[in-house]
Formats: sequence, structure tokens, C-alpha cells
Amino acid sequence: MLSKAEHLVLPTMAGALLATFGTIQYLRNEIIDTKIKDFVKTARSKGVPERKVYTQHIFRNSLLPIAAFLGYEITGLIGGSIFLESIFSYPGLGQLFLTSISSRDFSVVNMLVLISGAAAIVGTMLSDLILSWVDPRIRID
Amino acid sequence: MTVNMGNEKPVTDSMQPKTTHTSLGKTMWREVKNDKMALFSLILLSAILLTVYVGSYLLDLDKINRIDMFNIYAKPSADNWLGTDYGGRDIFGTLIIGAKNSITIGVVITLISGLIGLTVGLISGYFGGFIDNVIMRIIDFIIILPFLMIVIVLITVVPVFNVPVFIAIMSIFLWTGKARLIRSKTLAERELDYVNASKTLGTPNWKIIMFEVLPNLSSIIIVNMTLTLAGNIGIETGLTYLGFGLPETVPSLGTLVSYASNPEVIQNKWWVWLPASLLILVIMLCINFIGQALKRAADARQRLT
Repeated sequence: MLSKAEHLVLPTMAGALLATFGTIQYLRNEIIDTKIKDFVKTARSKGVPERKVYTQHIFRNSLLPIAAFLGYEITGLIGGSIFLESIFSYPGLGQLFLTSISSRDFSVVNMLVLISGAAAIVGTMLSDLILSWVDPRIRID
Repeated sequence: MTVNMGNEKPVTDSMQPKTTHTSLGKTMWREVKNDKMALFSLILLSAILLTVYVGSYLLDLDKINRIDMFNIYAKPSADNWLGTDYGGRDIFGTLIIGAKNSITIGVVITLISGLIGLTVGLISGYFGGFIDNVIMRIIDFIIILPFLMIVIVLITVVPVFNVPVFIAIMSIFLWTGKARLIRSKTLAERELDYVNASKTLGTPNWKIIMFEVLPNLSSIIIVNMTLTLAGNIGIETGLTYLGFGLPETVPSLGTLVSYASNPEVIQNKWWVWLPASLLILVIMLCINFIGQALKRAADARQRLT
């Protein structure tokens, strides 16, 4: 059990770091967009402390699209990361996919592609749901 | 005058508006020049490209691919600047040829997928309605497919696999993102007054799209293509690393990196995989830094920080 956790450290770290930088860049763009909006100016002019302007006005609003990303991330989790699993030889879906395609085992390949396709659809739906949950302005009819 | 960049008729000096109008190229150059990192990246990238393309003409391909069994895994020396691989082949030569192949393929994929995405996106965004609906559903379908898996499956099942086929397979899937981006920008552009004015004047649709809407989107297209170029080179090398990229006869940077999956090589023979990995890292960083600078040129809000 402990060894299992130990072997998870590097692959998960690599995967998490990759995802983090994408999120950071996206969040940066969002914050740049948000902080010139009028409501930030209003908050500043009515005397909201600078720290609160950032955490509650700018950050809260920039976070909305990031929250929607959570749904898409699920797709990556279920689909398995082919590169990471191959580099760390971690026996997951990605590794299974590579071995089955090398041995021309197309029924397994079929199923795996189907699973990740289904995961993508579920992920998209989840991200829509999350978005409508965190952002009251968006409602699904 | 600013909205109609590509379509200015030659006017005499007296008719020209007095506002200083900086062209897109000038703005981009200014942003790159002011950003030390981007300028350095541009110089470094040009140096790399020059070395790679000039070098690949000077190098003798037969000599590089010749297998020399007495010289397996030789350390870097005067003869082999970066040592040799498991077949006694010169790593430096393979690196140059591989970099040339990787970069060329990345650029071609970016151009082809950019062209398709641009055309589809412009048509879909400009005309809207039924056409837009049909095209967007097709794009949704392609985007939902697990990209990497389908590409690997296609690469395995095609009867003849060579470089053009590889480029075609990649382009089939990579145009969708660009088409979506261009579509959303075109939708916004379509509502603007200058398009309506042109329509009233009786300009044909294709002329409005080509000469009026397209120039206004050019900055976004350039930025997006620069940033995806790095990604495309990455995908190509990644697939080759997995063994599903370029055929064996065409060395790529990924081929050199894939030698590192041998534990003996990765522990003791750094000269086999380290140069290729570093080169990929440097190329992608350079392209990204330049892309960020161009992004600031295209989007004024990015300059506020």
C-alpha cells in the first residue's frame, strides 16, 4: 500500500504540474480581463480594501471559467494519460491502450476509445453543470 | 481607417488622415523588441533554424545513417561531436536532421490546419444560420473524439504510412480549435458597421470576407498559429517517442528522446537523449516567448500589466 503511494508520487506530480501551468495561464488572462472592468473601479472607489478587491471581486469572477475546466479534467483522468503512463511505465488505461494497439488487439482499442469518448461527453456535461452552479448568471434551460 | 487595413486604396498624401497609424507588423516588432526575453528568443530561434536548415544540407545523410558496429555508444569526441547511438550513428547529425524534420512537420501541420480552420471559421462565422449550425456540430463531433488515441489508431491502420500521411492525419483533427476561435471572432466582427456599409455598397460576400474581415483577424491568427506551432512540434515528438510518429527512416527529435526509454541509456549515456530533449525545450520556450510578445501586440489589454 505504501509502495503504491510511493510510485504514484512522480507520475501524479508530473501530471498535476502540467495541468497547473495551463490553469495559471488561463487564470492570468482572466484576471487581466476582469481587473479593468467597471465593477472593480466601483469597489475601489467606495473604499473596499485592496486585498478584498482582489480576493472577492477580481479573483471570484476570474475563477468562473476555471471552475468549468474541472469537468474537462475528468476526461483526462478517465482517458488515462498515455504519455505519462508510458514514461513512468505505470499500468493504466493509457499503457493498456499502447500495448493493445501494438499487438493489434482492436476490440480492446475500440472499447478504450469508446470509454474516453463517453468520458469526454460526461466531462463536457459536468463542466456545463459546474459553470451554472458557480455562476448564477448562467442557467440551463 | 483602422478597421480597413488590408483594403486601403492608394490615396494622395493630402487625403490621408493625420492620425499616426502603426501597422500590425510594426506593433509586433515593437513588442518583441521591448521584451528582452522575446528578442533573445527570436535571435536564438533564428540561430537554431539557420543551423538546422543549413546544417542539414551540408551534412551527408548516408554517412549519418551508416551503421558502425565498432563505434556503438561512443562518447562525444572530435569525430562524433555528440557521440553515437546504439547503431554507431552520429548523434549530432541525427539531431540536426531530426530537428529539421520535426520543425518542418510542425510548421506544415500548423499551416494546413490553420488554413482549413481559417476558411471554415470565416465561412461559418460570416454566414451564420444553417451553415454555421451544421459546421459547428461537425466541429463538436471532432473535438469530442479522444485526439491522441484516434491519431494513434489511424497511424496504425493506414496501409502506407509516410510523412504526408502523418501530416494529413494530424491536420484532420487540429483545425477544429482554430475554426472555433476564428468563428467566434468573425461573429463579433460581422456585426460591426463597416461590414454593413460594405454590404450596402454591394460588395460581394467573398470580397468582404477576404479583404475586410480577414485583415482585422490577422493578428489573432498570427498569435494563435505561433502558439500552436510549439504544441504541434511537441505532439509530433511525443508521438514519435511513443513509436507512433514518423517512420523509422525519418529521424525526428522524438526518435532520439525515445532511446532514453532504455534504462542503461538514460542512466549512463546522457549524450544520446539530453541534446534532443534540451533542443525541444529551447525551441518550444522560444516560440512561446515570441508568441506571448505577439499576443501583447494583438491584444492591448495584455499590455496593461
